[in-house]
Amino acid sequence: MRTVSSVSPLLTAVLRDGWTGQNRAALTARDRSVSYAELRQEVLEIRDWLFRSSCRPGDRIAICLPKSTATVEVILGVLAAGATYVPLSHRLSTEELRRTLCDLRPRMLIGDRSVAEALRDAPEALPPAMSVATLGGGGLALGLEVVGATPGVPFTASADSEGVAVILYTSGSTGEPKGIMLTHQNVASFVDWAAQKFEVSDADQTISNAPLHFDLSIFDLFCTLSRRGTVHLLDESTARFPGAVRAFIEARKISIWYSVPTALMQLQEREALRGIQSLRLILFAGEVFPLPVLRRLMNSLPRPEYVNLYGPTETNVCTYYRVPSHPALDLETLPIGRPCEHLEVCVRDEAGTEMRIGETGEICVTGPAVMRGYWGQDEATRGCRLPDRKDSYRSGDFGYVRADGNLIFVGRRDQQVKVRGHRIELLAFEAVLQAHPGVREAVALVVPNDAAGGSLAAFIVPRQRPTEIAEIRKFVGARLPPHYQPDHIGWLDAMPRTSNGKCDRALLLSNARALLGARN
Amino acid sequence: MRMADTTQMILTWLRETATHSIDVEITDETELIEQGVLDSLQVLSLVCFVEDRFGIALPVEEFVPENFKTAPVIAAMVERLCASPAPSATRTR
Repeated sequence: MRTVSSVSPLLTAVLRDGWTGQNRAALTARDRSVSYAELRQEVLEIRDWLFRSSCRPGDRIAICLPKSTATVEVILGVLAAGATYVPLSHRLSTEELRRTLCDLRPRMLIGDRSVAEALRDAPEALPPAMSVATLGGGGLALGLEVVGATPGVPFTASADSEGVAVILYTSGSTGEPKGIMLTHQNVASFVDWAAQKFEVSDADQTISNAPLHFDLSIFDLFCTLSRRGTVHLLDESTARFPGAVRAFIEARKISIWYSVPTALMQLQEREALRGIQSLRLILFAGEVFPLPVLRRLMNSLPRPEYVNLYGPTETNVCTYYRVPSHPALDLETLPIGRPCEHLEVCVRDEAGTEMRIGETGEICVTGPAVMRGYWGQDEATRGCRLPDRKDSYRSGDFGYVRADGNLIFVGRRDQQVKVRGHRIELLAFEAVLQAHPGVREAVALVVPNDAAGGSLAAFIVPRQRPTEIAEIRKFVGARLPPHYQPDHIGWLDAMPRTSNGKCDRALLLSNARALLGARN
Repeated sequence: MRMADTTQMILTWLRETATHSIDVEITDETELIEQGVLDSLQVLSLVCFVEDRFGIALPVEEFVPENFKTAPVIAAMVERLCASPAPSATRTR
């Protein structure tokens, strides 16, 4: 047996050998089940394959694959090699994938054939010295195969990147990709807190809803595997069908669910979870869960404990609120709750002074789960810290502490909003709309509705030639991820203005329903 | 209503609404899920459309990918639900 010391604390349980129960399932997906013994073997083989392919500890390995047991094995193999895994959405447009890769400068990209082919068209637009490997190739034991490399000198990681387990990308305020670096210790501190708080055990069957590039997946994978439970990967196409999700939960006796509220709301609309016996814990995060829907869900499925989790990707979960089994009817907002025990969370004003009970300020987080920083963006990293605290993060979210000690979320500082659980940069979205030749002016808004976070609307003043909505959607689809597809597109003859000549967003918002018609 | 008409109506809806993300021509044989015609939002809108248009309520156990493979498969499900007596009203909205 090879030495597997000095690897991530996240892998301790996965790499341990010779324990009873090693034949229990660690991972399952629609058509495959992997035991702990098999997983250990695969992870070590992938690690060795990475070393043979010139990957070294500290390297960044981008992973752009659909969710599958093999993808999770690759993630764990990268960690076992002491490298950083960087999960990228398999549905990024080619242009966005290139932009992200140029920012990241990884040693290797592991994709499937479609990703490799899309990138092959313009190798000069890729970062230097990046090899491209595919998963799913025939012949090889692991299905991993290096299919090419871009010329140039490899980018050497700075010492600072050591110990980074994962980089999670979000789009920054200008729409440029922004990589959030989380160290093994960052992730482990959250995992330990959550596993302890929610008593995750080897009896747990966790359904993995979130895509692997979304921070919710860190709980699904690492909390479950560290306690030797089973992770059941719900693929994207099954997730679209409430009847199939119910069947999946029943067949696998799922006990833990963690998702954005939208996923639960869509199931509740069909009462797809009614009376399911196996679920013991329902966690949700990422957007505000509308209380009327939550009440209906809790009536339909009263047995599990419901917990509202809050936290930016930069800190992972930092507050939690256990929803009382019968939410009081006069409850107007769902608190985000109390600080997680491994972190300090407080509300401060511009000057950094802590606010009193009931006063709104910026939610600030300090402690071991706070990110190492933004990849390659030292200034942005410094800008989000509290003075003299390298382990702090000013979230840009506003809230206040209620008299009972629970934190109430009020809103974002900037125009960064969430729709269906995804971060949306309205300015970046507008910039793309405005780049379309048929568009004279464009404004993007989030119109509040019953759905969590509201719906995304675009108001467009077209040029003379009429432009098709389908064409706008295609244009957006080629440049931005799928969650930027607006729910509504409204045509305007002219953009309303305020008295000083600015676009009158407030007026557009207040008239949005009328302008967009009665639809939805 | 004849099966063929129902299929036609679903095809028309798909062609009008689902073309933004893909460049395939949608026919009887198009694999709607595999070829990415029906993304998560499209599935929901399509269900809303057939429920409104045909006055049916889709029970959760029918809301599975097997019933949405192609336009004729969807039409067959719609016909079946139209023919069945008083659908178990599982929608809450």
